[in-house]
Amino acid sequence: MALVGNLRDLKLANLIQLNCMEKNTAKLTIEHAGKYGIIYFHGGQIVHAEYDPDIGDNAVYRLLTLEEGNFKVEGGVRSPALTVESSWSNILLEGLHQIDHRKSAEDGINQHLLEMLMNIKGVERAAVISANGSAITSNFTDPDGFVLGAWTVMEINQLISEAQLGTKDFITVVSDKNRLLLREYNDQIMYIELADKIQIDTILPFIQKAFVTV
Amino acid sequence: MSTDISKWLQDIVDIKGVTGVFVVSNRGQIVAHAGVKIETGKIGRIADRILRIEGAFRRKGQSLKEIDIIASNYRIIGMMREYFTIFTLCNSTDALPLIRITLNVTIAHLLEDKKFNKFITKSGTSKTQIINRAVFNKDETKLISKLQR
Amino acid sequence: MTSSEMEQIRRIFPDNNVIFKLNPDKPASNAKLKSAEWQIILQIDGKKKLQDIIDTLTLSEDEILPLVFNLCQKELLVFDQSVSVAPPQNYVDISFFNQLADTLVNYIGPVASYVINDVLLELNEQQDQFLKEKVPLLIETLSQEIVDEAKRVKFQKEMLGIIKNL
Repeated sequence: MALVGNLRDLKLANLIQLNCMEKNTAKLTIEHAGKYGIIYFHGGQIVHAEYDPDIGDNAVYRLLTLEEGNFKVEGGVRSPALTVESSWSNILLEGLHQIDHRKSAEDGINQHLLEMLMNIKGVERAAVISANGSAITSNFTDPDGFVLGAWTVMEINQLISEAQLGTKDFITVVSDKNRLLLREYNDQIMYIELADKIQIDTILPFIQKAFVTV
Repeated sequence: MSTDISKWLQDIVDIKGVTGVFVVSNRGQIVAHAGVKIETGKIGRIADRILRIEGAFRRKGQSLKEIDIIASNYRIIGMMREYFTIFTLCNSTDALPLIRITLNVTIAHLLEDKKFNKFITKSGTSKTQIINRAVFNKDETKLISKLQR
Repeated sequence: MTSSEMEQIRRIFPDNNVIFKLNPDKPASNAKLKSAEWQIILQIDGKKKLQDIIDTLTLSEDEILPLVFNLCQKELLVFDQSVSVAPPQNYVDISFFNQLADTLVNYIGPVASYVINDVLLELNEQQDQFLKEKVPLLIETLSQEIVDEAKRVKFQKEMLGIIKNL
């Protein structure tokens, strides 16, 4: 019987450790956002991995960056190829090290961008949020605001696709509560709250410049 | 629709950079328009998405006044009122302040026009109905459910 | 300077309200210039009008204009059409600001003139050289000072009528 679950509940690093230490022959399939990755185990090691376009060690490193995704482990399935060179413990160490490095680089860039935006007259608050409305880098909390921001971006993207319009740069939203400027940036969303009286088109060139500079 | 409304909308289209203006009910129907002719379905799809956004904000007790989509070669300005939204399509924003002032004045005219108001409130639905009845994909369902907590 | 020389010069720049920029494709450092021409080059910053340069230097207008003309002929200076000061008919008449203040005072009270001046300062503009095409921006910015939304739109409606007659 296959073991199924989600990486949210059981991390890939743990799955790798489990299958290698128990010297299982198994096939681990992971699905995330419609894309599939596969890791094969045999004799206490990872022997093959695929995650388009990567094969081997790099495929495992990339799969390790996933924070969620459905998985299935099928015991007894042999690998069709041998592409992984490093030992499982080295792969985990290197993979986790790459994640830390990438995360701190991203955090650094996000923080720098937020600082630049906060230096623009008329910007009240700014945050980097994910497409599912969670805060990634932020000095304030507004869970509803972030979800509404993510929702707006999602719906506008659908609108643009359905109406066959060209790529957008910004979305502005004016409600009775606040004035928002939203921009997609590196698979994340920049959520910017503007002061009441500021003319959006006056401030836009400065905000555009901040994105270009970073 | 009254000739006054046609005139008010034409005043907007006459501004440099404006290609078309549409008054759309909460059901996504075009009730008045001037300028470029756009396939009704396309405007309906635009309106539907905007109404979904409005509905989500309403769920959190907020009322939307305006949404703009800003691109390098076009701009869509959506100004919302209780029973309708007025969409302005632009290919340039050199005269943006004039566009916005004229839009504000046009909306004021529309809100004062008894015939228009009778028509729009009779055929209108509330802002949350679209989102309450909408069919969502997986990602939308996940996100919108966070607003129900 | 003869009248025909002046005519030739004025064909290139019709008045002294023009602004020049240094030609980025032809740096002046490579050129062999007279000392008076260098004095002019040193004044060029993309912001000063020709009249400002005439006022700054000890040379007379009659001496400076042919020098500037020569610098243009040598393509060391370029005339930036987009930054040049607009001909007077594109400015609003100063009376417009009186009309504006008289209208705005009905919405925000006697502080109207001060608010107008503040907003002009914020926009980096002056009453005596205010382009007609910037009036809507001024009106929109001033409207934000009116707290009541209905009154704000009423003010914009009144001003729209005035804008159309500018």
